[in-house]
Amino acid sequence: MENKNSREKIKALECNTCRKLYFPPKYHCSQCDKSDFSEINLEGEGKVYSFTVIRMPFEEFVEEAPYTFAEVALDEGLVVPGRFTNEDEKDIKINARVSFVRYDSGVNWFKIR
Amino acid sequence: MRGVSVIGIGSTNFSVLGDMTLEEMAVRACDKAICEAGVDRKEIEAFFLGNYVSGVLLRQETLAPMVAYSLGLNEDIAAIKVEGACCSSSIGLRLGYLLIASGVHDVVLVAGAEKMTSESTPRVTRALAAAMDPVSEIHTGFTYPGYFALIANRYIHEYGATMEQFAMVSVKNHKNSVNNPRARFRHQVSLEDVVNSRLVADPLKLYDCCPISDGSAALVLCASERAKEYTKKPIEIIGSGIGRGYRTTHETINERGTILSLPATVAAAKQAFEMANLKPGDVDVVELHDCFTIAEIVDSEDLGFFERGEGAQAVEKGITEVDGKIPINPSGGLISKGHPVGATGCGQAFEIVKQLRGEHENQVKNAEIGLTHNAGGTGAICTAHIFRRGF
Repeated sequence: MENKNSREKIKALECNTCRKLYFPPKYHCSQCDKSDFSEINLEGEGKVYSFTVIRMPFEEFVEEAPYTFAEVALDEGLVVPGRFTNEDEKDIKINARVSFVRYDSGVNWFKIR
Repeated sequence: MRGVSVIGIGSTNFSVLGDMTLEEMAVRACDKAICEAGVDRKEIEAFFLGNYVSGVLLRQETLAPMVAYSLGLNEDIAAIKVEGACCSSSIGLRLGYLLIASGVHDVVLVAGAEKMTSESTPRVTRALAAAMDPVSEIHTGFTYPGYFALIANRYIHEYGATMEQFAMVSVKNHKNSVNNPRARFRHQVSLEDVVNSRLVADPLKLYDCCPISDGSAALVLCASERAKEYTKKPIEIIGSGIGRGYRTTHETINERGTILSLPATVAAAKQAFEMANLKPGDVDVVELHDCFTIAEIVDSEDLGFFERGEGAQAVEKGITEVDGKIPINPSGGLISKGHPVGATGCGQAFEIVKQLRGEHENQVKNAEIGLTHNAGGTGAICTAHIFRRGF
């Protein structure tokens, strides 16, 4: 298990008027038409909404392939894209429980529980 | 609003056109359309050229004035490149339609052109990914096959569909393009060929995906009141719709609660059907955006031809075959005719015009009403157009 203290959180934007959450970037709230957000941290517990294994990536990722890409539905009410630190294909399925591990160079890294 | 008709069409093959420059492809297709229409090129009052990746792949932009000069069009006209990812040229079709319908112009040339096969697959995949969000998706290594793979896995999860049902789209579309001389692929594939082909983005396999292609297609549009001056077989545009969706997959799910629909398709179809005063059951032939097998299934539901979750069964039952109740992609579609991305929208319209004239190589019997559907990005821009035999 990851050391909970060293784990980073997922950064999200919360509309200060209607509290709708967004995965950045977002500059104007599509629900209440205001443009005032706060950056908040999410715990990042959730489940797989859908996933795929990318086998023919574009040029910068050729060395990494194959790798799993998923959309994760966080318990806190936001869907975010992510990759996995543990690549065991039989465990990656829709509704599999996952935990956020870290955000690194634009990528949300999750761990299958 | 006044009536608008297609009076001339032209196309290159959608293939590997290694010896042709992008400019030459566009000029060849446009020249054919202009000559077929029998219109004096000096009568053309605007020119829209759809193209998506030439800037990134070929380092060539500002295509439309270049092609317009080659074609000998007037200097005092708008010659504009239109970009909306894989939807680019049908956006140009809509702009041309609107300019004529509103009475601004009488004759407009619309086209699309794309050159892709000269570059490596990883480079093309990267160029196409420019329609995604650079921060959240491109850095994560997401691709367009990956996007449709997410839809496929979720569709299987929610509706219990099978990969064999998806594969039947590819089998059908390959069969349809055997007779289409413009198609990239002219051979049939079996169900086993599709399900045993190599994985591209799980669960999608190679034959679930459209091929990287070169090609160009063009249409001459004219006010319907003048169409008979040029042709005995005008094809009217009676509905035109467009919508915008989302730049990323997570935005789509967060805003709409599902990945199993492209909201922009639904919006475009609603507008087009309302404008034409028709419903999905009135359509005789469809060319829709089957960039992947699962895309044809989801599109067919979004356009209203089938209930949610029933698109896969419809393919299995043969309803979408050329002789079925609602023939989908008799040209071979993007999967087998090919997908030179910026040219695809005009290419679909080309195929429907031939169907409604009654001169298609894979003719749907007594086709009078046709629909085209073109999608760009992760459903970021979609169009729908409805055509009617005008003679």
